[in-house]
Amino acid sequence: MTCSLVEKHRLGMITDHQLVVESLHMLDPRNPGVALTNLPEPILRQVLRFAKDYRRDQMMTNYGVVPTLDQVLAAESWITESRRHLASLTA
Amino acid sequence: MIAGQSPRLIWKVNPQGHKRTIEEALEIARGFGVHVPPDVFFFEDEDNELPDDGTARGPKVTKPAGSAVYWSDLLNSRTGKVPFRIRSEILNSDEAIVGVIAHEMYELEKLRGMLKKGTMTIEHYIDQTRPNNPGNLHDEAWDCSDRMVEAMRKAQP
Repeated sequence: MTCSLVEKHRLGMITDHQLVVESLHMLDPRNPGVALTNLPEPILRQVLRFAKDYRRDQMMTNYGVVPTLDQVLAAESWITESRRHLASLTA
Repeated sequence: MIAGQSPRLIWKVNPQGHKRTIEEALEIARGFGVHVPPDVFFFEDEDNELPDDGTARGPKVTKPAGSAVYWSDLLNSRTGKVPFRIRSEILNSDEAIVGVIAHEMYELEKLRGMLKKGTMTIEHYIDQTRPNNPGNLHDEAWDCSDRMVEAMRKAQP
């Protein structure tokens, strides 16, 4: 599903912000990598920014669903861990 | 006939239901005076993602209450354009094409200045763009749409 979102983004059919929000909405907190692995690095940075700004029960949207707190926290943790792991490999 | 969600006019379907491409639709809209800026991207809703009563839709925006919405929130950074999904059936009617594209472009141009300044909160953005909120931009945009379709009818033999 995320590949399809990435493809839609590549084709210009969704915004960067939509790719962030829709990917988070698809994310299984038990296995966040499935939804995040194929996201480009600039989008992963935006996921982290979205997670930083996220306020439980205070998120508003013009349509559709809002990612849940556990989805956002799982994404933040997965990205941080992936970077830490990568840094340890290249150190 | 195709009924939009809020326009006063009923749009006529093309003879034999002739369906236009997106490129043709944009040419038709521009030909009847709709300003379609170069930084927008329309595409057909081939996946039927629009709700039953939706004619077209711009980007989704999700923010914490009280935070600002920016122009960059509406852009795809690869293309530099604002994407709009348009219902397939709209492409069967030149009047619907003009009406729907006029509606979306009216809203976008009114929002553009505020979003570029960062002076619009998510609450204000939702209030201005949602249906069933009389007097908001969404409402005004359907008035604009009706005017454009009326002018189109007068211009045709």
